[in-house]
Amino acid sequence: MINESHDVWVWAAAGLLLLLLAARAWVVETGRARLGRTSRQVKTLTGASALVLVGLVTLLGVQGGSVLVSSIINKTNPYPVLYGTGPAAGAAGAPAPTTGG
Amino acid sequence: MTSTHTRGEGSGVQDDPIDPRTTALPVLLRPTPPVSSSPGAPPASVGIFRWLSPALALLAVALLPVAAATTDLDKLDGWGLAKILGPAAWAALLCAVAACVTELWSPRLRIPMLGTATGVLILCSTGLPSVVEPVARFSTAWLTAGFVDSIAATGVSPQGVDARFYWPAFFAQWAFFRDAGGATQLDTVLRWFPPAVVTVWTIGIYALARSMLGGTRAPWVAAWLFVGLNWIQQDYFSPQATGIVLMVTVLTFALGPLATRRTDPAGVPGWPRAHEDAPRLSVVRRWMVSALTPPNRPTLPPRQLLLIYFCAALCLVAAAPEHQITPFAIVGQLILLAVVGRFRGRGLILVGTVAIVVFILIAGRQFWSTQLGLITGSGDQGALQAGVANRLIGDQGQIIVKYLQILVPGLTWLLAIVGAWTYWKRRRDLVPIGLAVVPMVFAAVQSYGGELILRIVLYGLPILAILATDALRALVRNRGRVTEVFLAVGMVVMFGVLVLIRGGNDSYQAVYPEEVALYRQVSAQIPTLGDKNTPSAQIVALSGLGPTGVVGLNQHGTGVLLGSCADLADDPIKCTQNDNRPAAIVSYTSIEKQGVYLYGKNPGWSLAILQQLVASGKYVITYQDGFNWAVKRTDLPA
Repeated sequence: MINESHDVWVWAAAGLLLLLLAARAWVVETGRARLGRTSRQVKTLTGASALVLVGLVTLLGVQGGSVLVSSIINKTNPYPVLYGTGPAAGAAGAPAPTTGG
Repeated sequence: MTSTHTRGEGSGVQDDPIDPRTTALPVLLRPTPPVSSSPGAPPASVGIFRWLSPALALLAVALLPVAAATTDLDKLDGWGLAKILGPAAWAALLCAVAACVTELWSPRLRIPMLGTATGVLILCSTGLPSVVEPVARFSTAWLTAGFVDSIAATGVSPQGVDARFYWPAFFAQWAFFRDAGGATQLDTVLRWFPPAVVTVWTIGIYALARSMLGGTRAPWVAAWLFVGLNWIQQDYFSPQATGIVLMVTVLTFALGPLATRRTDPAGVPGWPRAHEDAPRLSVVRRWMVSALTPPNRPTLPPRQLLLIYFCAALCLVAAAPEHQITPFAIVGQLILLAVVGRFRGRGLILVGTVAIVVFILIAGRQFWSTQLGLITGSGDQGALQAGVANRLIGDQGQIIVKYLQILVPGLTWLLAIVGAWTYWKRRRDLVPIGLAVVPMVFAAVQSYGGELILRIVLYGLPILAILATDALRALVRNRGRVTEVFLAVGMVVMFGVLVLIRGGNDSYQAVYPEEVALYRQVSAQIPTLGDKNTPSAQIVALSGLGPTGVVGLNQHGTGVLLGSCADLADDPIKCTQNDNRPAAIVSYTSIEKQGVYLYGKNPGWSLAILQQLVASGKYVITYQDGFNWAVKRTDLPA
């Protein structure tokens, strides 16, 4: 079972990653780059972005990603794993979305 | 000592051991163009072209009210809208095409005039149903308006009503607009949404074509080709229509201001050309050289680049909760461009991927935990079967229209492949055709959405239209004016076919104001039953057509029963005699015509069902006018 209240950490990590990518883009585009050299600021921001990305992927795995992947691979119903016992797959009363009329 | 000058063959200079001949190409001076004796010579006169295009555009617009007044929608049959359109409508379309062509042939192009003529062309082709029909067509557009109404009423997405609510951005956006504008319904927006959104798409195609084709005339032709080949009808009031806007915007950024090329040291794009006498390198080696060559940088100032990054990232993040497929198509195209080193800002791919994954995994958890089959494609029939073969039913008009719906994308792809060959010869570049192929992959790998395999052509159509334009441009350059006239005639034919195909289902996709009023009245009068498992079983349409679900979605559902009773018209008595039967059943003229022209039923079949329902004693008539009728359960209070 997952704790949905922890989703806030996923959103926070995603937001932080976007901020780091924005900061990196700013430094890369406004800095005076020399051919073949990467500035220390860029390296630091790249490393920080990679760290946050790893954290985000981990959080996503914990908050349902691993369940989704295993359900797709094993063709099992993810609902009981996520919420304990519950309705079977496709039984939520929601018609399939289509691409239109 | 190095040589500081170059010499061509036979220049008369002897080989000098101190200053040997170089292998560099000789500098060839271009012949100076003759200078006119009169320096103040006036530019070429535009003559009649100055007035022709505006006059034709005005005439086209003036004919539209006449077209609306002379079109009798009651005569709609299996051939759809094209058969009942009067001469005024066809004349308006002809004038619109002529306005575009004459301005294109003008010695001096006027961009505002070309833009106006293109707008008129869209109004007279894509927008023709909006002009001649009193309200928006397509039941899905009305259902989407019902989704908006639902969120506007409660502020949240309802659970268990429809899986499309798991991508609620479009509905929430329009609920906000509706509330902010103080409106109670979006009928007018629904009606004029198709020409408006196609205009926005066309602006994007024009911008894309300017980047890819260059020139002043070809981008306009690309825009017209896009409009003329777009029969796919995803431009109604829907999330995917907005999704295409986002997709074209990101593509325009990537192929325009962010575009880069891997070039050789001389700045020549494409695979480096070997010296004529040198042995030809292997394909693998050439690919390696090309892949390892760093792409050049856009020449924009840093702050402009950052602003474009921000806007592109905003589009990518916005697409994730907007539509199910569009974000995948955008990211797929960006990945292709990144692999071949064709745009700066590869971090955008990470932004798009993170947005999609986080949204689906976290915000869409309820969706994938209950509807996993939609992701894996299990339990669905083959996409080709569902998307193509199952559509070929109906009377003669329906069959011909549906064959045309298959033929047109086929011809589009054929022309685009010729264009890709032309583009390759001109720019040594095969990436554009790859951009059109990428979205098609999604149709092949999963079976989401029954008609996806045809409709997903739309995601590649911007690029296909541009490539097709390149092929036509090469044809015109080789053949001259006669070919231009021939292509102008072809444009008229193309837009005529467009009207035929797009209006082909209008006998049952057209919606009438009285049908909208009927459903709203029934929804207002029928109480919500508490003994239902889901709200989808409250008010049900005999078939999934008309404005069903436009209001009261939270109370009465989307108008479709689940399970074996999904098509109520097939076996209405079995599905309406149990205790869990719908509170009310409605039927419209469009449902009657669908049965006649699409399913080959006898005229009056829907009235026969009405009689059966009343004879069963379970339902009583609350309204009837022709084929529009409504019944409600007899055990409900009057």
